[in-house]
Amino acid sequence: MTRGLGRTQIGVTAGMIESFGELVFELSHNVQDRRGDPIRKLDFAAIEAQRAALGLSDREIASRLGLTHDQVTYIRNLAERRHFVANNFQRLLGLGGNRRFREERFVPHEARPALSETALGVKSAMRIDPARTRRYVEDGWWSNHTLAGWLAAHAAERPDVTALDTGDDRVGYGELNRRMDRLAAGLLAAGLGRGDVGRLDAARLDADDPLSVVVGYLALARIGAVTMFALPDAVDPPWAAPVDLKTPVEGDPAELPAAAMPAAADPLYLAQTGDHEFAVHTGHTALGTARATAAAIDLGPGDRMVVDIANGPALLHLALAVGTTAVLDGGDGLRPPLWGLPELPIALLGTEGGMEDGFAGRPAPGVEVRLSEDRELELSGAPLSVGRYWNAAPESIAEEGWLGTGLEAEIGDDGVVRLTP
Amino acid sequence: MAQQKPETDPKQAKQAILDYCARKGALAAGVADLTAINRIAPEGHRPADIMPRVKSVISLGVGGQTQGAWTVPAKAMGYFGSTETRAYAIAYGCAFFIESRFRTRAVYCPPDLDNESGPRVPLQSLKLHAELAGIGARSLAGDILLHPEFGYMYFASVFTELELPPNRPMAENPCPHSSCVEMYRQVGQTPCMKFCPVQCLSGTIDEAGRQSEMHYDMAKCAELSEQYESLPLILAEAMRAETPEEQESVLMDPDNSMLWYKMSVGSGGLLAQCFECMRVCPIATRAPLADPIRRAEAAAEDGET
Ligand code: SF4
Ligand code: SF4
Repeated sequence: MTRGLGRTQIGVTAGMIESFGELVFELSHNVQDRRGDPIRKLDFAAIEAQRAALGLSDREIASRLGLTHDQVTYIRNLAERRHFVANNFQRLLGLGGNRRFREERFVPHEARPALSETALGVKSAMRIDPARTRRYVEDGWWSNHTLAGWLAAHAAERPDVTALDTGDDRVGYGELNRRMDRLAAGLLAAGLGRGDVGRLDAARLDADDPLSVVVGYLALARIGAVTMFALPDAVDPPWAAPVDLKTPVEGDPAELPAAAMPAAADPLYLAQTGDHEFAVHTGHTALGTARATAAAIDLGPGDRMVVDIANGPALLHLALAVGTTAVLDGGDGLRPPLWGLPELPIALLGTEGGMEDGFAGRPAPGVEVRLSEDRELELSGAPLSVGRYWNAAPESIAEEGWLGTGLEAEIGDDGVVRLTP
Repeated sequence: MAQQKPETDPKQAKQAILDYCARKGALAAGVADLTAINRIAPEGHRPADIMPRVKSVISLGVGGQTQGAWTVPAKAMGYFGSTETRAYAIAYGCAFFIESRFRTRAVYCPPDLDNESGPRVPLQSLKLHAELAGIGARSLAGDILLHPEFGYMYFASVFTELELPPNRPMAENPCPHSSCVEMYRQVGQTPCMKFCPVQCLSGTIDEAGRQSEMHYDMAKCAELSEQYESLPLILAEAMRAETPEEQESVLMDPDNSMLWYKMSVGSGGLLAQCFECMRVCPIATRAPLADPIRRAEAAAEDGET
């Protein structure tokens, strides 16, 4: 309405707004051009000559265009609203103090990348019971652990300690951190981003180049991307981008924007559990209990632990959690007896003498166990995967946070779980 | 029987009024030439459209924020950067002062938007009043008025039926500052142009270092400074939303929720709160009496307390 009158009363149509909107907008004071300084100089001839450029009132526009005053006011207001970019206000948020706007460095908000369909699909597959979320956070299992954070800390504190040992090659934590950043920058430049899923081909070739697999995994994690750990004969899902580890394209780490730092609650890797099914692990589930687990198996900074990356990254997490050496070629090192499933890779810590009769072990830190009425072992806890991706509609990984293992077991009075052979 | 109104000497009356403004905290005040206003302001926005028998327009300016304010983040400055309410309070008092001292009608000129025109058209141009009263000159920063001594001010006007001798506009325009001319010669932009977050300013400077052309995309500036204009757009978007999630996100996301907050507390943060062009302006920030520290130092040098 203009002055209490609606469109039909003042005689404005959608077509008129289209036809006159831009012209009215430009003639109005929305766009102002001034030559010289005529008002201060009281140069009335120049003021008259520039009146339209300085911005006309609605009444003046009306007489110039042959519209009524009301029509101009109505059309101008509509044009103003249509021009208005609400999000531009947010440009102010990073400014002030000694920070100035730099057009050459500024990426408009609407042009900033959104999560891809795949990334959103994986995130949507995450179903976490709020009560469990609260408990794991309160118990300290779910906090802000990230692989990039661990690496950066080790690189600063123990850069020369060997992080990865392949027999032929030893890579210190400092160098591993740099390699991770270089590949991460390359992946980012190649178009992978936060939440995208990367497929490490070497992981499917029995890890013939485990060092590259580890660096690839860390680099994907560094940019917040998700690594798919597939079974050797798995079909290639269309949503996972192959990451070339044979001829990796590295980039300049300086290009790695801070915004690409991963968040612990975001998906970190997908572990294949079926033909078309992957368990979703986040930084929380994958890393949250790693330090406590490493402590429980007496793994410390001076140790060496054998890590078969083709079986997934859980053992690597233990090594990186405490800054020890991961032995990737099957050479000498600790081989702690551990048992788990892709959904919960380190569920039980083996107790002495338990391996022969199936498996016997105590629940790993943060893991909860129980038996169903049929004596099936059920698992839960902070390291349990938070969803399944790609099979059908997103569903919870397990009813009320418990995962059936399909295995019979006993739980002794001493808390030791014995899987029935 | 009503008492005879005392004879008023226009010059003395003007001095008394300007003294009142100064006493109340105005840094500068003057009288604009009503005839000139009437020739420049469009019909419907002239002083007589507010006060039919107006004879004089008094314009006054107060200082902008403290020197410290220029150091704070834009998001904080958005709440408190402008000081126009101090100017309004002085103008309001000035109108009362004129009526009681001179027994002649006076009115505080509403600084508000014109109800008949939508949210971008003011009832009166306070800027025009101030410029004609000689207390500010148009800058390359979208015609924001600058003063060579006080830098960047906020203005208010008083209309009165008292006849007062008008001032002249400033003889010189302090903008562009010599350092801006130098920058312009090097990069083709002055600081206000270069650092405007929506790049709505451009212009040229002539050989003599004076303003030649000033271009101001006011609509773009409004996107940063007139946040209240987002509200109808948000409501329209919410009505178009296809899912409850989309609707929830439009109405309740943090950015939009802030608008409801600002509206409900009547926050000044909703309007005219981008200061980035002034933050980099040497006149606004470094004019000799631009802020309380500089004014105190100048007063101390003059032997005042
Ligand atoms: S107020 Fe902000 S948007 Fe407007 S001209 Fe100044 S810097 Fe640009
Ligand atoms: S920065 Fe200030 S003085 Fe320099 S050109 Fe812009 S408005 Fe004028």
